Formats: sequence, C-alpha cells, structure tokens
Amino acid sequence: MAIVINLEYKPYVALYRRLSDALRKAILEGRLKLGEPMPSVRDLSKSLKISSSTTLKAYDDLKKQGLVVSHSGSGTYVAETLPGDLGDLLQERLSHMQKSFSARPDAILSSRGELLFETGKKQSAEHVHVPALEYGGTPLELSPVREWKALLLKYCDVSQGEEYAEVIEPLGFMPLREAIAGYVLRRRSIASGASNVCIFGSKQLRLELVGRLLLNNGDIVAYEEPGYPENRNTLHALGATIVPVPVDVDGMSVVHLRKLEHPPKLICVTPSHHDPLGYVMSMQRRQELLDYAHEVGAFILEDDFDYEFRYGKPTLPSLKALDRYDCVIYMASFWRILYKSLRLSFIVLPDCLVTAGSLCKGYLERHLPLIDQLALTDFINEGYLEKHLKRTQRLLAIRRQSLILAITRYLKNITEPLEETAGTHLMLQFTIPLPPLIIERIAWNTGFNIMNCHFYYCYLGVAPEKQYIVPFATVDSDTIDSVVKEFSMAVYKALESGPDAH
Amino acid sequence: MLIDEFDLTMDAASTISASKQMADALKCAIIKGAIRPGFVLPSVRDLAGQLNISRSTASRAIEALSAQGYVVAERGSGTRVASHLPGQSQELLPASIVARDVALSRFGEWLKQRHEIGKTSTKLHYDGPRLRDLPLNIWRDLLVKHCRSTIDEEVSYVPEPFGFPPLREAYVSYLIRARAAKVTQERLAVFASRNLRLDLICRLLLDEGDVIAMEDPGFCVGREQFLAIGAKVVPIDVDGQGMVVEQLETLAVPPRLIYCTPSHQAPTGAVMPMGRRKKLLDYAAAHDAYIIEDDYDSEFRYDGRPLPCLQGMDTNDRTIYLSCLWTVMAPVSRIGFMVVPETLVAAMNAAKCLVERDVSLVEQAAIADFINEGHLEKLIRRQRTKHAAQRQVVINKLESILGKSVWIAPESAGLEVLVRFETAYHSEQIENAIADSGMPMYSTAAYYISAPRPLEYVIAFAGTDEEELALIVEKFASQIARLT
Repeated sequence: MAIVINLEYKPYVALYRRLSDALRKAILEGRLKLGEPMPSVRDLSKSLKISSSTTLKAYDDLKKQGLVVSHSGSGTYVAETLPGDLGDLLQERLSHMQKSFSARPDAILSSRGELLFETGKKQSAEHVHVPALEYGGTPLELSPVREWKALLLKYCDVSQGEEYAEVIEPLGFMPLREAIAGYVLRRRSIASGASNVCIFGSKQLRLELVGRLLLNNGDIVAYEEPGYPENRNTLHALGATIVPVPVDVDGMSVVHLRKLEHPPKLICVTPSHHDPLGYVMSMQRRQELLDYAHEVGAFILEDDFDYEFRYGKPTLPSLKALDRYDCVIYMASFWRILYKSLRLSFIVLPDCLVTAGSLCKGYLERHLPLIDQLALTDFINEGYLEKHLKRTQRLLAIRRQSLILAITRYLKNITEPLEETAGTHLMLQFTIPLPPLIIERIAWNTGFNIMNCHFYYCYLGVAPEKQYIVPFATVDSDTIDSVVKEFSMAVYKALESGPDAH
Repeated sequence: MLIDEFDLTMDAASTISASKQMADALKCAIIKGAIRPGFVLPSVRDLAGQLNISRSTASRAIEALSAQGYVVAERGSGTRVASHLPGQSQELLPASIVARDVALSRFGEWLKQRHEIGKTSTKLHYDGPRLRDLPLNIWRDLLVKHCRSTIDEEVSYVPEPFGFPPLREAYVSYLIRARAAKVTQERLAVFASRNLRLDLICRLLLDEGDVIAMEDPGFCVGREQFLAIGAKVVPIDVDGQGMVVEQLETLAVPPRLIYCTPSHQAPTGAVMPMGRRKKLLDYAAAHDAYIIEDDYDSEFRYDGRPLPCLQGMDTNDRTIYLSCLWTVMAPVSRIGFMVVPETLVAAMNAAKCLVERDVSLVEQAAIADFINEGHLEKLIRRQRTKHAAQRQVVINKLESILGKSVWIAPESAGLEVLVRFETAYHSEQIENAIADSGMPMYSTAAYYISAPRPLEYVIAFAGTDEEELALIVEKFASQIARLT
C-alpha cells in the first residue's frame, strides 16, 4: 500500500508519538480507510528506517485512542467507526469531497460555464484514478529533495531578493527563463532565446493560454487517440472541437490528418513518448507532421513528455528543434523530477506568438512564487537537474528490465506482446475472458500496480477494455518477480473457476 | 562511388569515439547535400575497410544514423539516405524561419489590439508597500519551517482545487473576525494570483454579449478582463457614496453581474453607506444577478473600524466576495481569495480543477501559520498607522501649499488618495511637475468608461516613506503653486 508517512520533527516528542500522530492524521484525512488493514509493522518500520518496537508502540497508542483494532492472527485494521466526534469529522470531510463534484449548481450558468462545469466534473472524476499513477512517476528515492530543500532554504530569506521581488513579469523571472532556454538548447536543440520562454505556476494554465490565444469556439484541435485526458479536457472546456486522430507506432497518423474535412487549427502531440502507448514519433513522421502543419497554417503543441526516458536508443530531436516554419509551441514541466514540490512548468513560444502570448499570460497569471523560481534557477544552472535525470535513467532501465522479465515469464500467455516503448511505464493488453473489474481486483489484492487506461480515449466506446498501464518507476526489482507471479497465479485460478465465480 | 569523396576523415587521436566520428561525418555530408536523399550507402564492410575501423564500429554508426532518421535500412536493398531529412537540427544547420501571418482567436486579437492602443501592458510597475516594511524574519522562519516539513508531506497530498485546507480554515476565521463575512471553508477558494478569479467568474456566468454593470470610473484591469471575454460593460455612475445603485433600475436589460468596490471605491475612495448596500442586495436578488464585491484594500481605514463587507449582509446568496493579500503582503505573497456563493460552489470547483489546481503548498502553509499566529493582523495594524501618517503628510503638504486650488477626497481609507485640480491648470503642467518631482501620482483617465474627468489624479503614497514623501510632495506642490 502506498501510504506516505511524514514524521514531523518535533523536539522533545518521542518518536513513537510522532509516528502515531502522523498515522492519526492519515486516518482522519481518509488516506487510511476505515476498516482496511494498516500497513504491516515490519514494512512500515523498514520504510521509515525505525525499529519495529517503536512502530508497535505507536500502534498501541492508536489502539488506546480507539483508532485501530487488532484481530489476533490477521494484523491491525483501522477501526470501522471512529470514537467521538472524529467519525463525524471524517464523514463530513469525505461527504464534502463527494458533494462538491456531484451537486448541480442551482445557479444558471452561461453556456461556456456549463461546458466548463461539465468538463471539470469529468476531469475531477478521472483525476481520482491518477494519483495511483502519479506515485509511479520517477523513483521517489532518487528525487533530489535534499538539494531542492537546500536551495529553497537559501531563498527563504526574501530580503535577499529585493531587486527581483518588486518587478512583476508575467512571463516569469528572467534569470530562470534564461536557465531554461539554456537547458532546452543543450538537451533538446531548441535555439529559441529566453524571451520565448514563459513560466507557469500551474500546469493547466499552459493549455489555457494556448487555447485562449488560438482557438475560437468550435475550432478544430487534432488530438492523439488515445491521448492524455487532462490536456484534452482543458481544451474541450474552452469550446474547441476535439478531433481524435489515431496513433500508430510512428506517432500521430498524418495520412488521417490529411483526410479531415476541415484542417485543425491546433495539433497536440507527445512525440517523445506517446502518452499512454509509449511510441516514439519517427523522424519521417515528424517531418511530415511539420510540413502538414505548415501547409494548413496550424500550430503544433508539442508536449515533450518523458523525452529523457528512452531505452537503448538515442533520443530524437524535438519537433521544436526541427521547426523551420515557426509553428511549434513546446511545452514541458519539472513534474517528473520533484513531483508536486515543484509546480513550475513552462512553454517555449514560437516567435510569432511571443507578444500575444505575453499579453495573454498577463491576463491569466501575473504572479509566480518567487522562492520557487529562484531555487529552480540554481537547480538548473548548478547542474542538479541533468545529474538527476542521468541517475534516474540508469535506475529506470534496470527496473524496466526486471518488470519485462517478470511479465514475459508469467503473463506471456494471457497478454499481447509488448511493443518497444519509452517512458516510465509499460502497456499491457490482456487477452483473457475475465472482466476488467476482476483483473483490477486481483491486481489490487496481489499488490500489482496497474491502471486501466480507458479514459485516455476520447470515445469511450472504442477504448479497448483491458488495456493497462504498468508503471515501473517504483517497482522493486527484487520483489517484482514474486508479485507478478502471484498475480498470474490468481488470474489463472480465476480463469479456471470461470468468470461467474466472482 | 568512393566514400572518401565526401571528406570522411577520421582522427585516431581524438577522444571522440570512432563510431561517433563516423556518424557525425556522414550526418554532415547528408545535411550539406553531398550525399543526396535516396542514395544507397556502401556496405558496412566497405565503409569499415575504407575508414580503417572495425565492422562493428561502422555498423554502430549506421545504427545511430538510422535511429536519428538520417538513413533508412531496407532489407535486401542496403542502407539509403532518408528521403525526409531530420537535417534541421539546430546544432548543424541554422534554422530558416519563415515569417508567418498568425490567425489568433478573437480573444487573442482583442488583447493585441488593446495593447496597441496602450490599454494593457506586458510589464507592470509595482507601487505597493515595500519589502523592507514587512516582517521578513517571521516570514522567513515560516517558510523555512515548511520547506523542511511540508515538502515531504506533499508527495501524498492530493491537491484540492479550492486550496490547502489549513489555509482556508485560517483565512475563514480571519474573514469572519475582520470582515464579518458569512463564510465556511467549503466556500472559500484560494487562487495563486488575482487575475484568474474574475476570468473564471465571467466564464461561468457570462456568454458573449451578456451584460455586466460596473462603476464608472472603476477598476480598469477588471474592465479590460470583462471586455476581453466578450461581455457588454455597462457603466454606472459613482458619487460620494459609491456606485449610484438607483441607476441600475433604469437599465433596459438587467445585468447578470454587477462589479463594485463598496468598501473603498476605486479610484474615488467613496464608501457605500448601509442604505445603498441594502438596495444593491435587493436589486441583485430581484433580478437574479450576482454581485462581485472586490474588497481589495478594506484593511486600511484610518478613522474607526472598517465597515463589514457587503457579503456578510447578503441573505440571498448573491455575492461573490474577492479579497487578496496583495495590499498587505505583496511582494512576498500575492495569493487571492474568493468566497463563492453556495449555488456556485460546485461549478467553481469544477472550473478550478480544470484550470488551476496547483498553488504553491509551502506558501499556502506559511500563510496559514502567519494568520493563525496573529502576524497578519499585527502587520495590518502597523501598516495602518504608517499609511495614515503617509496620507496625512500628503494632505498637509498639498493643503498648506496649494490651498483651495486642489480638492482632496475626504474618505479616510485605502492606499491612494484622489485629488482634483482647479481648471485653471493644464494637464501638461501637472504631468511635468509629476515627472520633475518623482511624485507617485497617476491620472485617473484609465478608470473611466465615459469621458475622463480632467485634472483628476490618484496619489499612491504607500510605497514611499514619510520624510521622502514630504520632500517630494513639497517639490511638486511648489512647482504647481508657481504656475498661478
């Protein structure tokens, strides 16, 4: 179970007490669910690097508070009902979370408001599934949290930054934009200068900016099918007509694009690593796509997602680097590196959009957190970013290999063979007559981390039912073999007893 | 055809590996056009022989070129130079960028047009309180604390679209204490910066051509936003009691939204009295309109307690309340807040989830503590004293030097003071005096939808210390006084 416990540093408070406080918090926040098993004492002690007697003491403490119960022989569980007001508190919190998305507004919304509301509701329903995958980002233990913290701490003394603090640049702090321009030049051969770089505090605003700037109501956006739902939703909510374009092993099909009755104004692609299928857009396809965009006067939004993680093959140049037509908007984030601790992301605008883009940025978001920007500038300039990526690449290659080995060993007969892919996850297509719900339940029970990717499809009707994302970034190379083995055994058992047995 | 016609020289002493040298040399030849697209390369064996390198090295180089798309290996017919080249790699070829006409959206075109006539700006000048006036030590300690602990927690924190719950809890109790607002944590939304708030409200409630009524003169940044989104902005006059609410009744089409600043009208400084507030609320309820109450600098009233906010008096759930830490905490924090009416909570939540889910957690956690530990209110008290003194300096100097030839708005609130000069002056004369003295004074022309009132200015005193302010105002006023 992926539960993250943070032992807050409190002087003069015993370690077991700090642990029991943290667990109490997790229960009250609903992260540990009522009636479900607590993490085992051994696992928790191991992951927190504390002795099991301390953990036991913390569990005793929680037992005294009535928050957990232990059943002899089967371990410790979160209590079914919480003592006193605590239960009400949790109930209220959970019901509020549900309510805020399900309730209809009584207000009469504008038609674009309706669209925003409906799409947002869909997005938040889907988002519930995403956290499981988010933890599968890059290996947590490699996250340069220590370096990041040190840099943040350096800039906590805001009086040092007096000269920066009083300048409001909607596009972001200039030295950071320069650092990013240098970084994309080194890594992605993108030669745009710092004046084309635009920093964002919130990832989604990037799509908002591009959409607002280029699209009128009903304008066509060509979007990969399947494709990353979040960006699609944000564009859809702006009133764009999303046209799904199929993806093959070489990337988005240009042949299909050419068949469209009305050409798109914007083409959204993930050429470095198609999300979720993992294909890398071939060199030839890149050229064709650029030529096509130029012919019809469209812009290409290149989401350079996971370009760092290719296995055994060199990284291809980005579309932006190949762009002679000034039509590629390049977009990337630092999410893979520091998770939510670092929310800043950026786009590189083509020259023809710099003025309008900066006006739009000023309209949407003028202020960015200062210390984050200062710290990130150093983080890039001092080489932490690239050092971190290198380390991550090495570890990911090992984990990927052990996952592939385990899958080939145990799941060969019940899944389709894997394509050569990049990124931090593999795709698995089950070929067995078990309903997806059963497969998912078995996976959950055996601790095999998979996620159904049906909501990556624009038209749910065409989505393959049993296509799964299997992240390997947090896979433990030592245990993955036994996890997959256990999963496969449970699947075979379910197959024997027939789907009706469940 | 011999390959050495293409000048494939290998440097055995180089630290660059032989396969990379070979790949680079071939790549260069392909890009320069020395080897044409479709040309069949010699076999690996021949290449290796000619360049005097091992066959495996040569085949590695070819594989690298093939992966990068420069050559295509076809079974049976050898390796050809690709017909489509990735040859525009920046490190090898300068990009030949084609200048293009860009078809922006109507929204984008609008922004560009407004910019061309000087209505919007890409860079802004900051004129608020100075960094040195803030309790930076406390702020630093709070940031340090949360940089140490909150970041670890962040991994498991699933962001709530409305913001970090502890901050919402803290700000709710502040709003109840300080502004008598009717608010719960569920109805308070945190925004990373201020602008998005008006944008989301408008998108949720207004379609193209829908009417929004706003004060004239009124907050110009807001007006630009309303116009950009395609709303029809209807001006409502302002008098000594703020927005003339009675005028709303005369409108042919009742507005969907009413934007106003009842605590301290921008820019006149007028405070809306109780009677008019009631009328405004009744009007909104009767016509199914929402009121946007922008409470942007209510913290600063220099005589007596601030009036409670309009939202707190509203019994019909028609008020969207906006406030921000800008006037108090800028430049260290610019977080904005919105109290959402019950009927809009679900829609605003969905919209926020789609457009802005991430607000810096460290900053939110630090502000929560800043409020809970009482620093915010202490800071406001201190600033209030300071700003009252600054304001007094401005008024005293102007009155003593210019006497009756300048009218100073009487409302004792806000970070700016409104002044009007006698018609005997020319605006150029005044603008010259502003430039010469460095007076932080701006024309109110931009605030007007109708014809601007001539010779009307606001003096933004908050960013300048009293002594300096005294000198500047004196210099300015003396120059003006010499004109008569």
